[in-house]
Amino acid sequence: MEILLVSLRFVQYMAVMILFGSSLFPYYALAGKGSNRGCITDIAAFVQRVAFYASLAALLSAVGWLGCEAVLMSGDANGYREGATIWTVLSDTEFGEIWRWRLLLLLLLPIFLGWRLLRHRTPLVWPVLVSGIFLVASLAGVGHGAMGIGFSVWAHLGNQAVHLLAAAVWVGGLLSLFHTIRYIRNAALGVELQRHALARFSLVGFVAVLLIVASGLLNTWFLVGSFDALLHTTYGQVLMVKVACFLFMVALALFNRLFVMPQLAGAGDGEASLQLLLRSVVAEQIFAILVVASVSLLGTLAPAMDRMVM
Amino acid sequence: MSKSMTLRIISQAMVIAILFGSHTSAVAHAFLDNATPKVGSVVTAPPKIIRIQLTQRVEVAFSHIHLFTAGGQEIVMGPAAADPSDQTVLSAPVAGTLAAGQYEVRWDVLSVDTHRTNGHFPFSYQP
Repeated sequence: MEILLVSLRFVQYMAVMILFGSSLFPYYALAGKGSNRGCITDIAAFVQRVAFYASLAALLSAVGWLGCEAVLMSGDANGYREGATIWTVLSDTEFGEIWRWRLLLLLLLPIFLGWRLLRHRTPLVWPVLVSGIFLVASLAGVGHGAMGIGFSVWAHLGNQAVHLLAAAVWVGGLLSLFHTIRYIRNAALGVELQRHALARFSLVGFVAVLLIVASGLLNTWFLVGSFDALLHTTYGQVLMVKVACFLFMVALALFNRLFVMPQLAGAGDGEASLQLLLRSVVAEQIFAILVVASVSLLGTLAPAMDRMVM
Repeated sequence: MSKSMTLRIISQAMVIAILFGSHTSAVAHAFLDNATPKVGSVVTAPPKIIRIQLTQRVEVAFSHIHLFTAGGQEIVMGPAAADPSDQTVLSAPVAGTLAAGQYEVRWDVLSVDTHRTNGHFPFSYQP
């Protein structure tokens, strides 16, 4: 049951982060000078397609997650198929209070996006973006984010929401970036547009990383409490693995920013540096997947603070 | 960045740190903080209510308090309810009047962070 819940959490986090991050990308990376109408339309279509599949994955994993909670909360192995238990989870718990709105949105979103895709409507990015913000931020209220009493609940919730949103900007944005670079190369739109999108992404990415680090540190303080707890609890150890993967992502981003981007701008073999950039973005995505996987595990573990209390 | 701005940011960060810091004693899962009757105590009046205070807010719908005699026989209890002003406090009424003797309270609760915890403690009633 725990393994199933970790997997479902992983799919849920990944799906909604992609939903939000990939849909925000066109707003900052393609706006302004150097943008191209064809490119904007293409990336919007890409975002809408990705969002359709991501919202389906999010819906299925959200339903599964609810079933797992019904079992874990009631302590009854058949809880997932007991209507009354499911209903109690949805109506009488803080998890359910958030989950019922998420489920409603996740039911509507694939229908809306699927209808638009089937009818070949002009792709719309903003409904995906707005839903994405809600779906990512509301995950903060589920699990350890809900802990605390009084003011600390809101401080922790807000902090967690910022952490998740910033992470989604980066992780989801990478997917759109990858697609955009390839589109620009295949359509031979030139280095100008490429450099523009890359420069914007790296600026936004930089701000996102700062927010991730700041909110992550505050969060660690909340849930780990001491250096000792970081070293000697499973929670602390998984957290360190997560931080290591995150640092690899930062290293790759710095490598792109300081080494690959100047190469792209300069004379010489543009194609080779472009290949290098695409590979490095893929590597970044792999580390991002590892980070999200460790997050999925962390949520099911007792925070280090508890272990030290026990 | 000017010096005064840096100072302002540092002072704001300190305010935040103090606000957060004063709450770092809060833990995520719900553990027993205190109880009435007190853990391991000897009471002289039969308790009408078993009340437990936990270290975290709990979901009443999935939280229970059970009472057993020393012989392991379960005493009938009313449904557990949370204190309307404090979701960390859970209480359940004892149906009828307890006979003198040793008792064990067994509690199992669901914390708002969706994790279950449980525990037990004894008390005795000697009129």
